[in-house]
Amino acid sequence: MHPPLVSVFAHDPIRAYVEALVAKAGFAHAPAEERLETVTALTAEAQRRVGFELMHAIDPHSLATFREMAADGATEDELIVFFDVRVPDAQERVRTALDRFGRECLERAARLRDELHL
Amino acid sequence: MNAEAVRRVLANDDLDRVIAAQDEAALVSAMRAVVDRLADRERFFEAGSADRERIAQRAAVFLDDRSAADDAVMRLRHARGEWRERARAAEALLRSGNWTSARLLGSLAPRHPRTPPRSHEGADVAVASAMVIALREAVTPDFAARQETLRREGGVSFWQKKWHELLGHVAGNARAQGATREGAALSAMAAAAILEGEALCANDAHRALALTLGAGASCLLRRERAAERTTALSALTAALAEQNDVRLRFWDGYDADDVRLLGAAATAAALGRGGVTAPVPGRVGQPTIAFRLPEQWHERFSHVAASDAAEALERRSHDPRASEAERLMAEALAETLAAHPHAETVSFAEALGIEAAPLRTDDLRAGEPLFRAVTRARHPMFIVCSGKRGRALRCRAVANTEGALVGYRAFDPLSRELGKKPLYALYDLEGRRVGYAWADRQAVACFGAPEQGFASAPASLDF
Repeated sequence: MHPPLVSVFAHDPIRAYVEALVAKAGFAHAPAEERLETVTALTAEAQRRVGFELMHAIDPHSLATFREMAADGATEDELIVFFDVRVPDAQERVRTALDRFGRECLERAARLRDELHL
Repeated sequence: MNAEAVRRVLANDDLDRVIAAQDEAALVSAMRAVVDRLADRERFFEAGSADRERIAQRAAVFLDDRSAADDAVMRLRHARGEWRERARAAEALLRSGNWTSARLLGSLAPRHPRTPPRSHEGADVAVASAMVIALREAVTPDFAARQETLRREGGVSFWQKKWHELLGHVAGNARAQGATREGAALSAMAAAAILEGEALCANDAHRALALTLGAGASCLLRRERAAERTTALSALTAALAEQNDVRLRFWDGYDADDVRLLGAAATAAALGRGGVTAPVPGRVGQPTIAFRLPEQWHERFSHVAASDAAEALERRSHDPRASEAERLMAEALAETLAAHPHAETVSFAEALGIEAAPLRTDDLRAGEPLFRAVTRARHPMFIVCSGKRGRALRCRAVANTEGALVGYRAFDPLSRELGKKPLYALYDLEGRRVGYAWADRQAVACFGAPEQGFASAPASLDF
């Protein structure tokens, strides 16, 4: 029997990053429920942002392979291992994408705060 | 000749032939049979053979066009939310021969008044998005190959600037003549389609692609914006989502979840932590990260109480002999287990929602640390044993460091103390008293009697 996957809440790096971003954007004291909803939604957007960055890095064949794997119900491990082989500089690209996402988020937040006179 | 009379006459095998006709010749032949029936048997009209053939041909063409066009129009009108379906309907409509490309692109425009955006920015984004699509339309298909060709022949930016300027002029002219922003964008797209056709000798495939992109753009323009953004946080989320939506339009055939999955998997691979499960709005607190549990931990802790496992893992997270990854996992698990509201009565596996390893049993050995176990059915979690002076004791199952069920323990108030420290009474799996364990720290199995120094010799010797 394969050892099972364990899911915990504390160590999601993207989520932790987004939580820090929301706080840095000045919403640390927003109502807890709304803040957590926002963090969840923004985490998905951050993942998409990283995805776009990676789509530029992967050749079309590999991209098609990844989609086939996902469509065929590949396990989480298989999807993750895919990048170890196909994208050697994935770590740098992920960090770059998150950095850009963070800047966009902060800029947008600043603009919104101005518009809403917060 | 009224419709009802014709319907009554046609309710026969001839009508079935019309419906079953697979090609134009078969349809004309079937229609000719209908015309003959109407003319000869029912005497609806008089016509010669040549006229009958012409009537049959016209009827066949009319029937064919009407059915296709009506069906496509209906699909176009009803497929409001699905732009790919709108594109397919538009393509079918175009093939009916009564529609031009420009008219079709116009028909993809909004049919109901759109709520005006609250600021200029929203409209600009929509127009910019439409432009982006129009721009892609101008250089597709084989986008990557064409990009490479253009790179060799003078630079991508040169060509893109040319298209951008041109489409910008088209949109600007339309605006100057009173068109709405949406109308201007659609004009630009129509221009792009025509230019593409001329430049690329457009065939059916190109035309279909143009319609697909146009339909996508029309849905983008048609999309209703949030009527009222009540909070800055929701506005922030919407703004960033909109930016990603615009990016997505560069990638035909990919949807938002494809891209998110790619990003999540890449992040987990690059940072060594995380999972690919989609965060679910409204279900805050759901686990969003996953890792593969080390096999030895799975076997060791599966049936151990979550609280005891949390303490053991907490110690492990500070153990300098453990690797960095192991310490992080131990810390994360310890936090999760300790936070469980019933950590003492649920097992490690139950608290984490994973399948438990098979339960094993073993002998109780002296000097072995003991953990409270959570067991069911065959080996109950609690048994009643005989304590000091025959007093009934409720004993809790215990497991050793390998995760095997080894016995039971209980605090016996009438049992001895040593140095005023209470002791647990230990029982084997059969409920026989075999030893003691300290009750104020990690329980360690001790055999013998406390005042004799907890003899650790085996209970019996074989000679």
